[in-house]
Amino acid sequence: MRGHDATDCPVCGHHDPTLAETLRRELTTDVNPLKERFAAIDGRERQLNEQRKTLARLQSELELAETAHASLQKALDAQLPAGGSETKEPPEEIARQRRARITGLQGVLGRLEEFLGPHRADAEVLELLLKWRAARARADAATGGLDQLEEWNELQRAIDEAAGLVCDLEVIGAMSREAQRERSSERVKEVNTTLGRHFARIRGGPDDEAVRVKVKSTATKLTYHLVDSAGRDVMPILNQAALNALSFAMLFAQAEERATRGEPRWLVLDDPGQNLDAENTTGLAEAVADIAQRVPVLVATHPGVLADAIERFAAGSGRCYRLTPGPGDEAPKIQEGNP
Amino acid sequence: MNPQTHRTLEDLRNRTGREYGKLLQKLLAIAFLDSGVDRLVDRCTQGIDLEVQLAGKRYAFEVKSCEEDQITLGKKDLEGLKRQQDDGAEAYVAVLGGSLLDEWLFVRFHPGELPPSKKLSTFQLRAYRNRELEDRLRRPFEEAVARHASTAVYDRQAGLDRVLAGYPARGLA
Repeated sequence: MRGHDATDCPVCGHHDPTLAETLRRELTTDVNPLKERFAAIDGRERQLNEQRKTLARLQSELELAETAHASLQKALDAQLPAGGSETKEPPEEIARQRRARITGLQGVLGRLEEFLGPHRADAEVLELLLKWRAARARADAATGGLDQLEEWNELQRAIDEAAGLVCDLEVIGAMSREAQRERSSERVKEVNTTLGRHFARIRGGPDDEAVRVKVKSTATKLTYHLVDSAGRDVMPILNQAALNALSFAMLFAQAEERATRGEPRWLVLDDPGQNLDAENTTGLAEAVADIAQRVPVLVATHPGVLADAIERFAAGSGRCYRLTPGPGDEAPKIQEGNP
Repeated sequence: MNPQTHRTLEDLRNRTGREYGKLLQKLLAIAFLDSGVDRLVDRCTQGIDLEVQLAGKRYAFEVKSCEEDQITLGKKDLEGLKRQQDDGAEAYVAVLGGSLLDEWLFVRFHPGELPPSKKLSTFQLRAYRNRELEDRLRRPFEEAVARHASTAVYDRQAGLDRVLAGYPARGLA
């Protein structure tokens, strides 16, 4: 602070060793309340200036009234007989007139007093206002010299460093989000390649981009849609066989991806051939043989087209086994699936 | 900031509305000239707001005022700053907030780090400030406001242009 003793209260002059620290803390922690107080006091000051003008006018009127009062009193005194002098009026009449005049003047003074009463309170406020203005001048001097305070400058440097840290964090966050976006995009590409391959194999078609995953991202969520090569949602337009094929393609694509991380240990298919026509059944067998290269697959199915096809496609892999009924009441036997 | 300067600027903002930013730019230009720069060019329309030559170095400033502790830089602002940077000047965004404890922030421009059309908080911008330059301008700016605020209120930009014309170091845009 500069230009005054920082330990004296600028309003009441009270000595307080912690005053400078309190003022500094208030100024550095939250400025808005101070600003609001300044605005409120400014408003009050304007209001009081108006009232001060009114008060000055009223004081002038009061002076006029008091002058009139004095003149009346003088006139009254002049009418009253001097002590010991002769008078034509009886003393009772003179006393009555005097009382009447005094009563009248007291009424005038009472009304004036009543009128001036509230403005006396304003005068007291005006006095406080003058003290406040002096205090504000001192506070201005203190605030204006904040940059001279070492503590203030240290605080500013600390805020600058914090801002730098925040900026660095934002940059790192942005880089991380970018890397995540790239990884996610690569991942979708991988899934689409695998999904398309399995779907095309099951359906027996050449187009391995007939169905692909489309990712829509917002600030709060990711949604996945299955779309055709034209970008349309495929779910409403595929028939039941194609939907079944798609379900297997998604399952195989997922298993293939998880297999790169050593999961799952087994892929179990329970009667996968139901609801598939002969063409799709052959495709499914081919896809099963393909996925079995990466993940052990356990297929529960009835003897028939699918079982035969799986055996045919998995032939030579050395990993195809078939559970066959034992003779009579004997337990089923595991038989290598390369007949 | 000196509280009296703050009150004067608030009053100027209330009285002049949208023109306040340009008036602030001219008051800053006067402060630069008072601080003893070798040459200064200020612009009202196209291009960077202030170009300053000081001790053999060239500085360029895009001047922004804000009430809510946030500014937005347009694409043109950033392109102008980049052009100045490419031409060898040190490019800055000069930001003055609206609260009592706000001072001028001279924010060094780094291409690509300030996104266009996005709200930037003055706190965030502090990471790029040039305090030495800010300190140099603090007192001259307060004095410029005290001396020329009434000219700014009553004669607006034309009045401050007349003040600027009186400085030999002021160049033509």
